[in-house]
Amino acid sequence: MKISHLIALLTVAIALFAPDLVLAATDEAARVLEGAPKPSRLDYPVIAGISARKLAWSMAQMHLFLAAFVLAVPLFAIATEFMSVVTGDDRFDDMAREFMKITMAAYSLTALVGGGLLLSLLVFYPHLMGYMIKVFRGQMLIYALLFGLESITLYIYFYSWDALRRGNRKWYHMSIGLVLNTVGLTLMFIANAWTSFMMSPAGIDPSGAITGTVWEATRNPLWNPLNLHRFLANIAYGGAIVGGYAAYMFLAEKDPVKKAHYDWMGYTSNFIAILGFLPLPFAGYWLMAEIYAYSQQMGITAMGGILAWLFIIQAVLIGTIMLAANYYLWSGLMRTDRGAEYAKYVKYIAVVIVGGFLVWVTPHTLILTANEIQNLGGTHHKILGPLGIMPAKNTAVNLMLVFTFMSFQLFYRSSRIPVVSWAKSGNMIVVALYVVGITNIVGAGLYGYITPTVYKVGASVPQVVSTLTIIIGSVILDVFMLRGAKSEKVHWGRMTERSQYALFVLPVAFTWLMGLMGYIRSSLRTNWHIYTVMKDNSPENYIPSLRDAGNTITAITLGFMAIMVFVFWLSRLGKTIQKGTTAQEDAT
Amino acid sequence: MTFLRVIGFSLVMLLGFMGVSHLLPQVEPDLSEPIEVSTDGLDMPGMIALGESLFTGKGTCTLCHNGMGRAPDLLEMDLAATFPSRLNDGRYTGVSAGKEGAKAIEGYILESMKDPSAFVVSGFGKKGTNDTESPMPTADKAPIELTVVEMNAVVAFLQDRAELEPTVPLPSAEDAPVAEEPVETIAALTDPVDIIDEYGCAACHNLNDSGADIGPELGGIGSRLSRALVMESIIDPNAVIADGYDADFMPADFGEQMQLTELLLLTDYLMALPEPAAVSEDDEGGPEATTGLEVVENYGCSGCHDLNDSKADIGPKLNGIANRMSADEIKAAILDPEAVIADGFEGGMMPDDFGDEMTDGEMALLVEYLTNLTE
Repeated sequence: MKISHLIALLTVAIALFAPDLVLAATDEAARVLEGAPKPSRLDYPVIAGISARKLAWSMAQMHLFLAAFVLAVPLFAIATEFMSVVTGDDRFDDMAREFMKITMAAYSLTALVGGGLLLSLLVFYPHLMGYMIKVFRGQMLIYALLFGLESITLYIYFYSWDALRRGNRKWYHMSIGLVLNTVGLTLMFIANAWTSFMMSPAGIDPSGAITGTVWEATRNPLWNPLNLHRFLANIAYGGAIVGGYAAYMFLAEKDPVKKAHYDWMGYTSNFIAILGFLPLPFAGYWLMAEIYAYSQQMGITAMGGILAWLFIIQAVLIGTIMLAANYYLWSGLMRTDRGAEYAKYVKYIAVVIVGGFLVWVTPHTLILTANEIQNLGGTHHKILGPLGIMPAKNTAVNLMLVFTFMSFQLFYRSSRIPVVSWAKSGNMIVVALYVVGITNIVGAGLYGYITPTVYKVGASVPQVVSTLTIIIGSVILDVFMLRGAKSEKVHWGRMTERSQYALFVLPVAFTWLMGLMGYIRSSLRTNWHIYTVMKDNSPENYIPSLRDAGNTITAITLGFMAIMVFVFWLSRLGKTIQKGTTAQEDAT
Repeated sequence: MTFLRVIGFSLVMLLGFMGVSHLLPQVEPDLSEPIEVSTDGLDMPGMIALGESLFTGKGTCTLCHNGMGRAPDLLEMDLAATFPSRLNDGRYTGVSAGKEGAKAIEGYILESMKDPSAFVVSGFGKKGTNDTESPMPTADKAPIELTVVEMNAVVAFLQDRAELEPTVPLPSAEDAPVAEEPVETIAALTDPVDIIDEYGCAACHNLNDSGADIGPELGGIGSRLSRALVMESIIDPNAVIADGYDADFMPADFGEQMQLTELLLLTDYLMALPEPAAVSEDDEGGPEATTGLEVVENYGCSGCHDLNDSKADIGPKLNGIANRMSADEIKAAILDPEAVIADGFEGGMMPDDFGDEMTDGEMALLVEYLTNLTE
């Protein structure tokens, strides 16, 4: 039996049997109308002075970082593999293979940290875990089964790469990749169900007694917004980490051919990272809108309450990512001979990106002493204060996204000269798209100032639509306008060393940002394990201060960076051949 | 070398992000276990005061009932006119529909807390529900979980704001004690002495041997006032003014500043204070201060002004005042505090009889002391 047939059979088996376990209307646990446990402070084990929350937090975050990476890279790999088939360019295929190799080492570490997370939760939060197992029952077993299936498909996908590289066999290989990604995404969706259930429980009554199916608990109000948000974030994250690797290799390599390869890899990775990143604010917006719809209190806690200051740090991080990504794109203009023609626009784009960044980090209400209030004449700065509210921030972020896309478009255009007869009209339409869209974004922002709070949120919708229209409209026009375009040579490798550091900014800032988002999402539950159903009465049931959170996130990020350095080192070690021997000898 | 440069660059970036988290204002977490305080013995003014504290605190009502447009601004609107119009609204079909009077309004408010969707004011419903579904959480369910007494207290507070005689029942010993949940994770103080220090009570009242006499003597107050009146006096100090004292001296925002358990603990502490020891004629006024610092302590300046890091903010900061005012201006401000009000501060807060209370020597010492205070 062929391997691909075996995988197909396994997939069908899961599809046939899983619904019976996942969608079971009732089972033994569901029939017992018993509420959620109510552990007292003394019911939480205290072991050797270990901070249970910090341990579980670190394990969960580290597992998420690694899982995001090992989930993102196969997505990235199958996309690039597909590109190699479509374009016939083997560079895509080589890059995908190179990264799958790294994933192999990261995969076992992901499982190891996942095991650590499970152990820390079972030891320190036994009541919570007992209840969660009761709610999700068979689904937890399916998770374990899928994990096994993912391991099998991952190994087959990687080790069959050369055996299934050409002709129809390539399609078999991509089918295995498709199964691998389907299983990986399903695993993420299941884990998201548990996380989102803790924020917006469903399928239970107010006391926590199980009244619904596992599917009802899974399909809780925040599940899909979280799925989308994490899916996009994983793509951006995978791209950013691959970009960081490529940048390091670019700096370390002396051979111009290899340098060119890693420059191309860095550009492609950055492209994928930004592709995932551009719609991310909108996915985040949907998630926050659903949080407000589920619990206005939870929404206000996030955006207007004690967590509001976190969004200033978020702005710093996203602003850093935007600036770095744009800087890298602007530097890329030197790869083409016509790049200088477009470089003159960079200063204007830079003004918008930096201006947007400054608006985004401007807080509305300032925490001041009486004397400072006296000197300032109030808690809001007279000129800068208005920049702290949502209309200004929405305008800023939309303009930043539009102009980041413009940076991409400039590089893309710098290596292609349209030959279609309607090129001039097409360019005018693109310019008109930008002008009308930007006017709409700014106009809707100004409207936000003269309308009540509830309509301010509504005013952001036309802004998002304008941004998406500019991006999608320009892409469609470019596809037609640049058909058969005269291609200019792209001098891969003709990049400054400084530009490569922009590619390090992305993974570091993304990792820290993901840690921050995890802290915010978890803090939204305040002192509840499962919001409104099961209280967290542990000694560490409080929301840590920003300072403590910042320290913990930094420590976890450092740990993750160390792991990634180890993983990259392992992959290079695999290529190293002992001096005095040959690859042939090594094989024998 | 490349490896070290990359790692160094990444570390600097990480430290930068961490630094931003340190620079921002910190909300320190509440590490204490919730404490429970009995509401037994509260009379109606006490219930109203408790209701106000719940409205802005544990009840989290002001998260939405404010001027931002999420829910009707109950603290600003004319409730006396609003409640009757709600009961007569054609869309309202709840327990008090078409009825009149304070009891009907009690039913209406209680119903709106327990079943917010029973009647949704036009324009405040969930999006797409045509004002048939309220976004408001149920007040007696998680995560708010107000007790029956607490909901009654909120009703009493709102009835009082609507200029009605509250109709809710008073709590008894059998009722559940109130337990404060951390609302914004700012730790509630659990020791009454700490509460007195935090809110600067001893700066104006003779508490903990402070000797201050701007406000009435609090020793033995339990034998003169009921628990509810003491609580009301803290939250609404102008409601009843003790003989010999003037209105508007005591800050009126302690109800907003204090957490619920702090208010109840402070009230219980004050109720248990013994009568003050008799003061002989000779002791009256105490010996004249001989240093500027003694004058400051005797007259309780740091209770209202930020002085030597007292952090009080009712009056302007005094450290570094010489950078802004001359010695003559400082003296004039002490003698007639209403003549010039510093930007960002309110008039009517500082006693205007220091000129009569202080000797010329004390005044000179004080002005000299303040003139030489550094930032």
